[in-house]
Amino acid sequence: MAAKKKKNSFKYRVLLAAAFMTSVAILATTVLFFIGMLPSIIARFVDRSAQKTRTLTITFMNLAAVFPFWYQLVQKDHDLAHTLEILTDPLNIVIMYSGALVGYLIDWGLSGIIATMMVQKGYSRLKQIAKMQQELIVRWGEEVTGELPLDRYGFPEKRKEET
Amino acid sequence: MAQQDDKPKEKEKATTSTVAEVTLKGDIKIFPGKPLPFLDRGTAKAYEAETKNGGKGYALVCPDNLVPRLNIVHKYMNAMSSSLQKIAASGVVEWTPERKEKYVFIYEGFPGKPLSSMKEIKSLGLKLDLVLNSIFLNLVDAIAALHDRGVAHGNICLENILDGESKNFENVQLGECLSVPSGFAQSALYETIERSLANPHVKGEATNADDIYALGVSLALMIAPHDFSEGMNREEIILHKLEHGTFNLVTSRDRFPGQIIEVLRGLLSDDIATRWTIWDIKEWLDGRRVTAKQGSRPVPKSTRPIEFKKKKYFRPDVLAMQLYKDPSATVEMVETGELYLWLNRAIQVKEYEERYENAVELAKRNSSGANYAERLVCYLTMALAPSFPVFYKGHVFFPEHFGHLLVDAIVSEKDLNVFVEIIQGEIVPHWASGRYNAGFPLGEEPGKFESCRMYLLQKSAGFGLERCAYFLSPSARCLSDKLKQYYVRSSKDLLIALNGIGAEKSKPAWFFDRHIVAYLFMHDRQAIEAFSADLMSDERHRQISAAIKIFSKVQQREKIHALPNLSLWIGEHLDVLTNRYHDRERRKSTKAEVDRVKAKGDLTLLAEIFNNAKQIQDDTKLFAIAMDQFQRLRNEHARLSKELETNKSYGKSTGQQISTMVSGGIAGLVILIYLFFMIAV
Repeated sequence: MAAKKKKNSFKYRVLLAAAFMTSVAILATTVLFFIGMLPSIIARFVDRSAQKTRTLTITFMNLAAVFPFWYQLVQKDHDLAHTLEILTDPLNIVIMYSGALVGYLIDWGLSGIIATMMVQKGYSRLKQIAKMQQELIVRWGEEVTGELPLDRYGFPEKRKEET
Repeated sequence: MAQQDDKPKEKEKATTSTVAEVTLKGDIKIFPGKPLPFLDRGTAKAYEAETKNGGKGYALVCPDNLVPRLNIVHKYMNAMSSSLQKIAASGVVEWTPERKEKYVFIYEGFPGKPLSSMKEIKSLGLKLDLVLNSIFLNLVDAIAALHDRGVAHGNICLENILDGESKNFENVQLGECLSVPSGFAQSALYETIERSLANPHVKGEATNADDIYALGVSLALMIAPHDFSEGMNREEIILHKLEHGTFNLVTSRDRFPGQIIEVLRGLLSDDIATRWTIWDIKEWLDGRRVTAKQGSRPVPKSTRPIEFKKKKYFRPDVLAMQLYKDPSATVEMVETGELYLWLNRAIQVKEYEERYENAVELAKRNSSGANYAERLVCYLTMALAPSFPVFYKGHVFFPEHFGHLLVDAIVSEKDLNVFVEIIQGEIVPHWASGRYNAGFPLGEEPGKFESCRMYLLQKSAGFGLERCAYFLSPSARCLSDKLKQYYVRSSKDLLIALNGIGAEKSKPAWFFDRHIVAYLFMHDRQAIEAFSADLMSDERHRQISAAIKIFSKVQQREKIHALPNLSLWIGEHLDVLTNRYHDRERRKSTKAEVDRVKAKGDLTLLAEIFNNAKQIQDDTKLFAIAMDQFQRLRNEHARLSKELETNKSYGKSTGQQISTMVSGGIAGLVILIYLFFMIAV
């Protein structure tokens, strides 16, 4: 167990090193994404849901907003100066962060609507279950509930008094 | 005063004569208001009747507590003699005076009055020629016809020899013998010693030899000018017969003509082996010489008497007759060794000593303190007189008719424990072995009583004392309390009776009781056996199901038409069966079907509705599925309720997942559109 942990730990470190080296190699992109997607990074740490769906929602929209600037960077000069040029323009930053904001709004608005719908659906299902149970009782008697002690033929035991 | 007494009698006569006539089989009339007391046979009462062609006749109504001799009716009907009563019909009638069913025998013609009514005293003092040439000839013809068919009459006495309304007795007839058990209406004088000791209804079936004996006594009484039994009671007659023989009794007062002496000696022999048969009589009538030996019983007689209840006895059989009168004195006589000494020193017959020792040992072994004395009396009587009937607790009976004793006790609602004691104890086997060892004839009693002992071991309905009664007395009607007003002799009769009961307001709750079940087991085993386990079950639906099946089977087999009252009565119980379905809809449809069918009176159709094992199986399966479904719904309901009540962010994660997908979709679309424009431009 300890060896496995050690191995994992080693693998993790190699990957980390590789990522670090890659990010250094494409430093312009790294900086653009780091600054441009800062709301997503913050959301990652703020998001307390188990599946981190909110982070993903924000990230997707944030990415869509950062993507055109990264495309310009790749298409022109892929260097740090050009990156800083993009990032120093406040409008660009507003655009990038607005994407994240739209993501947040989608998450807040849509999940609220859907949750309300789900609760309503739950209550109507409860009603449906009660109705189905009542129908079963009408057709098969109180003994179908399994709450009455039954004889070997499946009839309530009080019937024995009749015999 | 006498005139005053006559007035109420006339009134009574007038009222009885207005009693409505009773019909048998639709066309034979019986007039309950016209009794013929001189033709009564004991408690079997005779009434005027009219046969279907309008001819005269008379009816004998069988008493409730006695078992008529139905088993020999067909043989009797085949006996060909003009001196026998001709049966016009027999069967069950609705006897209006008592408002219940009775079994009756209808005889053709009017047979006249009994010879006994000619004089106040028993003996008639008729001329010998007249007797021999008419009365005796007719009687011999009648008896021969019966004996030819293997039937003994069992009721031959002057009270049952009828003059045929002829002055010279040329039409003398022998009276009827079927309405009561053989010997029931016979006085001790006409009976052999052993039969005269027994209670009237349990003398056992009469034999041909018993008929000959009774014929001999009747002959003697017809001829004798003086009553040779005058002033003697039943016991004195039996004692005289025991000590001196019947022939001695008959000839004790008058001298009989020489030509008849031999006949009387032959007919009245107390030893069956030397008694004449009907063929000996016929030979004698034909003029051949038949020698007659006066058979004496091989009973030893002591020179020194034994004293019992301040009387002295020289013969063991005479002493045996007395023991039952004082069981405690009998115990004392045994315990002081007095009886043993008497047998050992005065009687000096080894067999008696051995039987005595066996009897005492058996009584000690098989008796509790309470009934020791009675058992001792019973066994000692057997030891001292093996030919005698069984004496036990006031009952004196031949085991052959023990069933009749039971029937009488059940009808009269007497204590039945004594009969259980008799069957469970070794009384009858011991009686039988003693009788066998002493060379007396023995029937099937030991085997039958062993079967009865087995029936008593089983407590469920269909067994017990009721089964013993019907087993030992197959001609008995069903004695169920429910059927008191009916005379049920078959499963068909039972259904018809139950149909009648079904119409009554105060009908019983259930169709069966121990008597009815036992009766069906004896008389229609086929109908009940397959369903007996259900019938005896303590589950109501099984009982009702069995009842319908039994009744429908009998109705179908006997081709009985509609039984609407019984059908409706059964219908009252059918809710239990319809409720055997779990499915309420099926219950409703079945109930509707029952309501439609039950008024028709066809039990087969009713049984058919419930002959549905497959449907019940399917219903049970579907019920199990429904139960399972109910449980799943309940679990779902509980889970969902809990979730909705406790989880405030219910549905949120789903919403967020959908938001993620939407967001991902929009982002992807934006990127694709951007790329498209950039590449295109």
